[in-house]
Amino acid sequence: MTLKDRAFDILPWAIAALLIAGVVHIVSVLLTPLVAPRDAYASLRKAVETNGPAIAKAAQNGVALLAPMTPDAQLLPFEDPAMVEGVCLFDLAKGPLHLLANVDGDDYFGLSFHSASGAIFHAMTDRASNKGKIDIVVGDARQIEDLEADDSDDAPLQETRLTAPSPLGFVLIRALAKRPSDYERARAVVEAVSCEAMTPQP
Amino acid sequence: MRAPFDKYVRALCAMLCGLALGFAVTAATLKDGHGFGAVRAGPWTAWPRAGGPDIDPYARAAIARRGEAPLGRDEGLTFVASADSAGAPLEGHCDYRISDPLPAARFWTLGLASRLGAPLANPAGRYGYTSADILRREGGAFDLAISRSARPGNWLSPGEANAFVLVLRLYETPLDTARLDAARFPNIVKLGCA
Repeated sequence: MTLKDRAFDILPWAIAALLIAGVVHIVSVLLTPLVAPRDAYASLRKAVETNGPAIAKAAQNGVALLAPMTPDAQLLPFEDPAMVEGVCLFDLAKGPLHLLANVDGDDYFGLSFHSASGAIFHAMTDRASNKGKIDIVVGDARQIEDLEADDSDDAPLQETRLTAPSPLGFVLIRALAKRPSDYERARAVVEAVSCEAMTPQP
Repeated sequence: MRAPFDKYVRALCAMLCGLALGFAVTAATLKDGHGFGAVRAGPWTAWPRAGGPDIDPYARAAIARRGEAPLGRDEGLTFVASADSAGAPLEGHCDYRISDPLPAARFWTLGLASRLGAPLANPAGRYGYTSADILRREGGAFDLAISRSARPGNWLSPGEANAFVLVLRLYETPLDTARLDAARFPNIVKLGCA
């Protein structure tokens, strides 16, 4: 058997292996967010449910305060140590989520809305507040439609409505402590956020 | 005459090779960064698409694997530098100077982190500076020293870490990520190594 014959003999198998590799690569990239055991949602949920050391203050009004980052312990990587952070987990099967926050507008206050699979479906800062108030309802498409059906025509809408792409997710609340001495003030802002499932209207 | 199972052995080999290669490529693409869509300005890299609903599958997988919750695009933008302005990797035993300019933002913070995103233990207990607490010269410009030994003025220490990254977060920035100008980002200059 010459070298050329041998190459022709192996070639179809090599092509098959490459095709399989391509499919495996694409499928594994697409599946990673669904099966990753320690993604942000999983670690936040575990920390909140067990009230572990990564939580500085257990969930109150639905918002759990995260402990400040240290070199040895940080719940989420690449977070800003200058931020005071709170998290609010939601499960829309229990009803739409109602988030209320009061901001003074001087210092940075940010909200990011994440679906459990990792995409951010909305983000805003205190600059988008309405006279110092942030009032947001997160629901699935049906819940938002129901709310819209109940709207009366004359009263102006107070809240911002967001349609979540998946029923599970979390809201990450970040308040900037510009200087170490601002920490307590930023913490109070995060603690004052309320984030609760709306009970269905009778 | 060939052995009758020859073809089956080859098919099995092809499948196993394909599997191994596929997973290896996935592991390699998810190891660093957030896949495609990176924008660069000198040594600084950011992934603006990771902060919005148009996130690509590679970024989504990389974020899920590391357990990150990135900033939303409307909140701000995170730039990471793992090399100095000359392209050499940042090393803990070297001294660096970071100096103006900075892109416009309502607030910014600049800090050190490990390659995995943890703050670095250091004797000063400081992980970074914010736009409010950094010391500025007359006119608003600033210098930041990175060194294991104490420096006057703005100083960050990488502690005992051998490698580190610089993280620049611009909160509420009007930056146009399609046209980044490296001249408007801070320079990272290596001063010397111990």
